[in-house]
Amino acid sequence: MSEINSIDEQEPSELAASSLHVQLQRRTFLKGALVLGAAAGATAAEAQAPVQVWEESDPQCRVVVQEVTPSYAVDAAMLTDFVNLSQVLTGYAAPLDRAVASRYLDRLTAHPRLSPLVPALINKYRAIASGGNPPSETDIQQQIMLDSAVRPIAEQVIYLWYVSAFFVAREDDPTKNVWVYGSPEDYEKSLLWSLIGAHAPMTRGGPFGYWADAPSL
Amino acid sequence: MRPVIDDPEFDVVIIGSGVAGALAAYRLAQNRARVLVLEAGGVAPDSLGRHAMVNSYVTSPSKSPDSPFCGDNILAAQPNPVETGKNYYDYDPAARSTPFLSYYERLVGGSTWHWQGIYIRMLPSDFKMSKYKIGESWPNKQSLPSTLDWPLSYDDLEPWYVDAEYEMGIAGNDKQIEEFFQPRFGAYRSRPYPMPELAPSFLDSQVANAVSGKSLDGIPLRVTNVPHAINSQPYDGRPTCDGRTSCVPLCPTKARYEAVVHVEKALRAGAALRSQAVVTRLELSEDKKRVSRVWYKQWNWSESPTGGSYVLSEEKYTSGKIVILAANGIENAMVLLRSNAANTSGAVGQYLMDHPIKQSFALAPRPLFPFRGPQTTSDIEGFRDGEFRGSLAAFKTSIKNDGWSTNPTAAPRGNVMPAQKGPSDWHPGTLLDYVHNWGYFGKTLRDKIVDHATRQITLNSACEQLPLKENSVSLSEKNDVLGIPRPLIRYRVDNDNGYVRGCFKKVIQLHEAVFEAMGIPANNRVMQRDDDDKDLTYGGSGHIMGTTIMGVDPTKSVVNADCRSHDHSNLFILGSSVFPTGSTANPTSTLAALALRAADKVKVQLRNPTN
Repeated sequence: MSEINSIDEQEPSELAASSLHVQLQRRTFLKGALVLGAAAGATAAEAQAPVQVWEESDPQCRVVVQEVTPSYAVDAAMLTDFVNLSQVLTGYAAPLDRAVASRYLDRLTAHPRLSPLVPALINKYRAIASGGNPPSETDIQQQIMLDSAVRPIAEQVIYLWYVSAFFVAREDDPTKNVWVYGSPEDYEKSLLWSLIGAHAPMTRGGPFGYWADAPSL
Repeated sequence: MRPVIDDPEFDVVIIGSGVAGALAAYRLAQNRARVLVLEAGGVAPDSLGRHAMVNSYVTSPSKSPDSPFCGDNILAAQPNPVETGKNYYDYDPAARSTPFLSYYERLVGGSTWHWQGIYIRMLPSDFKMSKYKIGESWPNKQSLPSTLDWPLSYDDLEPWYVDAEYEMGIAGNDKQIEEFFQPRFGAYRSRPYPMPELAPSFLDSQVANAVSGKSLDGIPLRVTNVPHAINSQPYDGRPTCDGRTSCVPLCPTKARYEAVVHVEKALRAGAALRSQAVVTRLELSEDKKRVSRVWYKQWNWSESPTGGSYVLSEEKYTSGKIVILAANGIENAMVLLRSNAANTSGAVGQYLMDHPIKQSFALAPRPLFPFRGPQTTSDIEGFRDGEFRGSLAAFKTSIKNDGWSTNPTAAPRGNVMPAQKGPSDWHPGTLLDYVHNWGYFGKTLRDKIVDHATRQITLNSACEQLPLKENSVSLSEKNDVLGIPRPLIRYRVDNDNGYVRGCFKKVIQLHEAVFEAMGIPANNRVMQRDDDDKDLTYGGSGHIMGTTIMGVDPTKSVVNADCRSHDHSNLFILGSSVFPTGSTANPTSTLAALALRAADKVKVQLRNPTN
């Protein structure tokens, strides 16, 4: 494993404009107000001290998505295909929760940038799942993960199930991506945590002292 | 503008509602003093099981320490961790500073909203650092204060440590005091812990087994249970911890103590609270011997369709027979500097200290099952004291239960898309890397994530830092969003003689020794070594100390052992800003003990006013 590189000496930064108005835009990010692009953040490109884990100027608050109406029908058949596809993409052993799946499909088909990509993914799935059998992992690999047209949306499906969030370009700085979460209910059900015998941080783990013993996976 | 009122409006005006201010407010209000608490920030939406704050955290991309409070416009101007504080801290370019990486919360209840809850006392030696003869042969020893001794001893403070621990509810292991802390450090306890220890995690037990009988430099690598202000059983009407692994940034159940507990108690005992009230300055009496008035502005956030703005009131004042300044290590100094108060010594703002952190992380050969229980339950404390402190800093090593989530990988999720695939056997263990860079999915992805995440371990060591005159906070020419001067930081994490650098080397040796004992091969460890000719890499602890140091000599210190200002007989200053040296202890225990002790002095002084 490579070692973390030491940081360059920090130059003190200037905020591009320390005017009240610009700082207000950061505070109102949550409200969905327009952000003033580069003026909203630090201008100097700086190395971070290595113990910082956030990308500098990550939005602290929830990222608001301006949802769109999909140009296609989101029906029960699509939901069923989505669940079956998700089962294979995630590798989750137990059947996936259909209610959660319905909310995730809604979020995907309402996202301005992801919505147009969903039909192609579903159609690809239908093509390889025909005959009533779920597709093999090889089929998924060849036809979806190695197909640059649908790979990006397939990734988002995996992220959604594992951590209940998209990882998509920021509105104010498209060169950076950001996690976009949904509801606390979906967060609690995100799959990553139960897979490792744990729980989504800030949700209940168990009775006092449960952590003293290894979980049974 | 209302007519001038000559009599003090209150018996005690307390500036700041963190641990120090809240404890003092409670004790004094209980004692039937008329108390006012002024708090720069607002009130957190604490209802419905903290539903709103949990929601803010869940939807936050960064899940940083102040993420539960964002978007509510209750935080006063403060350094933002996601911006490494540079939204608020200004730096003097001439000072060649390294980043000051500690943050705080400015709202009712202060920074204990987001603290881990570690509750460790200073050691007896920490009060008498002159015995290690630090810096006597240094050419630049004038950077150090004239004494490295506290004006009180562990024995003096011990009953107050007990008082604070029962007041707040601390869970700890008494047996290890007998077996380890007392014989090794002279760190006795006059009373048992209020609650039994937090259960050590499975991960802790794996580390403890591995290092059993091992030592470094003759110091045993003994794993000990960390005392916490977290309930191991119901205490004071608050529930037992159920291990949500989110202490930082928020405990949703109140099993962990926060200062807001004592704000509530103080209010029930009759104290008044003015929130969103930022103190602009202290006004002094004509003879400068007393604080006569406390001036402040109230602020509100005002929404409009195109955005919003801060609306500030005119400057208002209040007054108290006694004034207690308890606004944290940065803001205490800022209030005094804005007021030209309490600074005959010139020491206000100087000797700024943190506990710089060096982290290492690794992948264990067998599952450890992190992400369960409080974020820390055990540590290694052998290097908190010893003769080596003459030349390199002491340190304390936390064993993290939250995997790699606090290191640069932010595993198992990841926060940035890692660069193109590195060497084939290196995985940062993040969902982003596995899926985007490697194209894993399905059972392969599931198995890889499970295999990696269950074996993650992080060791986190916090070093003492020397008080150096040139590490300081002062007034910037730039203002914050409330129109108040921002802090101007001059800070270097180490002095020229490498007190911290030497510590970091020792830290890495200790981390290597632990990983070695656990059977972790070298290529499964990430050690953040520092090149000798480069600046140190480090993190901040959130422990801001030293900016209004305590001492016997009024020409060299700001307050006396009772936390009373040398210059103004009715001004007390509380919090970790009074610490003349940093020790390796998390500051809350000591500042709480000092606050309760000072509150007693305030009670006496209210009965027998001086000058």
